[in-house]
Amino acid sequence: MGLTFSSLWARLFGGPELKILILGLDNAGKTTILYRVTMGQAIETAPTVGSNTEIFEYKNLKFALWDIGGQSSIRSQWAQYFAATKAVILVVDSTDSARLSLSREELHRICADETMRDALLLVFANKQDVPGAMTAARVSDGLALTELRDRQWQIVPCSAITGIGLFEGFDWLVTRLEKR
Amino acid sequence: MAMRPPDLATTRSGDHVAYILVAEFDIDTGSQLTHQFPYPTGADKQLLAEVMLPEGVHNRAEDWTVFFLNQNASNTISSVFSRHSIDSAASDVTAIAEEKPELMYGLSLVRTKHDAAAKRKAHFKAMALVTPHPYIQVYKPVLTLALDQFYVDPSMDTLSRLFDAVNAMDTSLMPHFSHMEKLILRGSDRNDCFGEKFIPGMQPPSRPPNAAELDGRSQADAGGEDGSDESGTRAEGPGTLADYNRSRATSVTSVSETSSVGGRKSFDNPSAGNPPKDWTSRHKRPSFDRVSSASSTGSRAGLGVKSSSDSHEAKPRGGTMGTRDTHFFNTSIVFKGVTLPIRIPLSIFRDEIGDFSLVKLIQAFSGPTSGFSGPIHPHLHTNGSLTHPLILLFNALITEKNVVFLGANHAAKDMVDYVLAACALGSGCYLRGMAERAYPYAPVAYKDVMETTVGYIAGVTNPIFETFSTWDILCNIETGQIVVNKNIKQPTYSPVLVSSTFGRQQREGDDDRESLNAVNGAPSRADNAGRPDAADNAFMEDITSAIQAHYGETVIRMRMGDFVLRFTRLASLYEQEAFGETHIGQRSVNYGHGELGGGVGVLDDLSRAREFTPLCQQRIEAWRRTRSYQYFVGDYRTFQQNRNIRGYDLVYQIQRLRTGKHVTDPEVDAIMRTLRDSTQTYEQVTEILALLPPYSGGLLPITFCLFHPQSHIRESAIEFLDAIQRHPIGKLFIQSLNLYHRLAYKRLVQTRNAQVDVAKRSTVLAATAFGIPSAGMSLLGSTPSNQSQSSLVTS
Repeated sequence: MGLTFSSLWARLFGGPELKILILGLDNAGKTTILYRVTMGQAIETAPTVGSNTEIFEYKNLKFALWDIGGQSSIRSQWAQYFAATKAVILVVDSTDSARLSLSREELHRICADETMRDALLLVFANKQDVPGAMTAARVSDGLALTELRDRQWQIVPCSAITGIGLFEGFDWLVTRLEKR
Repeated sequence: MAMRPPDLATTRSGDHVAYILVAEFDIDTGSQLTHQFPYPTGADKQLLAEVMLPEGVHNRAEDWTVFFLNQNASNTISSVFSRHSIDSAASDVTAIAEEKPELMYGLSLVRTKHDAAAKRKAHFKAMALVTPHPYIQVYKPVLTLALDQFYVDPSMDTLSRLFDAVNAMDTSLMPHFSHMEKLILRGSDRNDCFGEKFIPGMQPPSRPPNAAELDGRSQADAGGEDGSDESGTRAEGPGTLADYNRSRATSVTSVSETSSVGGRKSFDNPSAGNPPKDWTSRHKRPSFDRVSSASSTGSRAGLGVKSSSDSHEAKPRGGTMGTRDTHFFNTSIVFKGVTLPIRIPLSIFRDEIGDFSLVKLIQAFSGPTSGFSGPIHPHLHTNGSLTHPLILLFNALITEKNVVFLGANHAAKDMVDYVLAACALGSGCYLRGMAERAYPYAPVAYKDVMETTVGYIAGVTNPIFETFSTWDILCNIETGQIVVNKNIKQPTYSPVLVSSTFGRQQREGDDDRESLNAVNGAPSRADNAGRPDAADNAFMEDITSAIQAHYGETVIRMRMGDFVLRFTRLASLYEQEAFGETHIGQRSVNYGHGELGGGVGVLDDLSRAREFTPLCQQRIEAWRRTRSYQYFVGDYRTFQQNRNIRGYDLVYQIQRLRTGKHVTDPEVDAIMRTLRDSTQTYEQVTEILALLPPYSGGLLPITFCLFHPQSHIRESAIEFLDAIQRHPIGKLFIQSLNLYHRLAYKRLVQTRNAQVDVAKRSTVLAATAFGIPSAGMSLLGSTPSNQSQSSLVTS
């Protein structure tokens, strides 16, 4: 997957891409979203050991998307990736209400980090295609998004498998990033 | 090292493999270390798990990583049962510094198994083994089998079987070579160097001589039986045997083939390709008898018990299975009924771990897109903007800079290859201190641990490492570009700079502003420009053309070794000029007044401008502040104490013969005499031959003297060759000589013998004239019976 882009990556690395982190608990759907957006199709994914990085051009902006694993041992390393990040995409499994509070903890830890002070926040409430998934409003409550101060954020319900909602989220990012 | 308490006799410990580790990627908690066999190592479990399950493995079917233990505080083995750790009870700071435990090497295999029934559709399991030996690559096949087995049966039983299987590997017959012998072995392409050290222990139970005894025996016999070796084959009669032995393979080879007969089990292994050997070995039985007659009951009785040894459950026999190449020791590991042939490399040096490719590293940074960017640093850019990227890398390694190799989205095993090659680049075969700073594969989790090591050398696949600011140089293996960190620390000291003809100019410390400016990254335009004819650049051109000419990996490593050797000798010159004395080399003087020269001689201005510029001296001064220098001082002192050729600088003399300019006849005479006199013992001969590898001409520098106009110089050369012939390795060198030189030698020997015979004859005639019988002397004994003749005839 990443191998097709590796030479492109090498050539463009160090260029003016906008660095975007895709974070979230394990099994949230981060890798599926990454490849749904960059490759246009939903593929079978395996748990991400480490991270996946892809370059993505959309509406005349060049993004460097970093999809980082969500298992607990990898979450402790998230801070290593924070430098120069323009935006965070937090992916939440809308069917996993038991761990919503854990997502909230991780989100607030990210937002508290000094290096992430100016980063945009896009929340994908993923797996909306599954019956019984929480609504975006419910997820927003569970994450306590309204408590975030000095942060531009947006929550978008989506389904990585069908693709619904993904570009809506990216459009929001694009408009916000263009303004800067 | 801590002594093992006596009651741990029952504790399992391995000579070959000390630990087996298993790690798994848990879909909730990530990488976890799940098993440590036979007992916990005491090293940080999370870090071990992270390195065993490299990033990106979800994109691959399998990957390999390498890690070291006893390298820093977090990966030091501190198990109470282990003899590879420091006894924590007895430790205090000074004790730890002295008792630093040996580096241990870990090889890890990770494999992905896709499982449609599993929750996340894939399992990642990794298995590693930890060994004190650097030839970790030999364990790859058995690790592959064991991990497959572990997927089927994930129990301690599998680990236990693996542990027993690898530790049962028989290396009792493995010959151990001295440093000099290893240099000779490495430099040679031949399959039969030092074949005499492989004479096997194919002995019946009643009289099992050990390898050392056989070794010594064979050495002593080599001299006496030289003639009989060759003549033995001639006496054989049957065409096949004599013909076969007349070719390169000496009778020693036949001995070893035959011994494989006893290890019947080995013939079951299809991959060893044994059936042909079986046939030839049976035919060679007679010569086996003859050569090993010194080993008394050996041959016949040994073969006689062949059938009985079949019936035993024989341990895998070491020594002689598969194709014969003395660069390797053949043995085997039996795991779950499968016999895996193992070839242990015998000519590896310190800081050479695993099976890396130095050629690949050199090619990665010598291609059309290679180059460097970032600020100029006096330690790194020893030739200003003309510094070759690989030299920049070497400079960084030798001056303990933090080096990162980045291969974005590559497999971890690729990065491991580059880092291990870099260790070999920085050390040649002479220096130490590279491997202990190396992290062949470093996941993101290693970031903090790496930074506790001064001058780390790390291989990474995660591009995020570019944003970490602690590296000094980042080498991108895809583009061949080396980026110097824009915030790299410039040196605060300045070396004692030396100018050539106008004596010493000392510039110490912070007093001298000018020197500080020159040092602290404000180089003069002249420095920046660099010289196109710098010695480093010439070396790089030489190496890249050697690679293009398809010279093998070992030759390239040896040339790198030559480069490092030259560097240390220049460092010695620097010390001598700056401080008056040197602890890492002989004094550099030219030949004069009958006294042989030494060191690098006296450098003329052109040589200084090419390889001893102020920047080069700066590099030397930086090296003097590193651990690698400290090790070298100690090693050199040990070498001086243990060397067999004393009193003069052998390397210098050979260099004079090989490439010296304005070498006068008296100097050649002095050198040849001294060399000839330094061939008394086997060890002396190996020291000399180690400096005459085939790729730089072999014996040519010496045999050119066979054509010298002065007869006493020719005489010294002949006597030298006669002397080295006494040893099998010397004979091989002479056999490999250029045809003209060999013929010259033969002709000169014949002439000399003819003269001797004339002298003898005249003595005899004189004696008979006086009526004195000449006891035991035949007239016209013109068939020279000395050994050199026969060796010239063969091949």
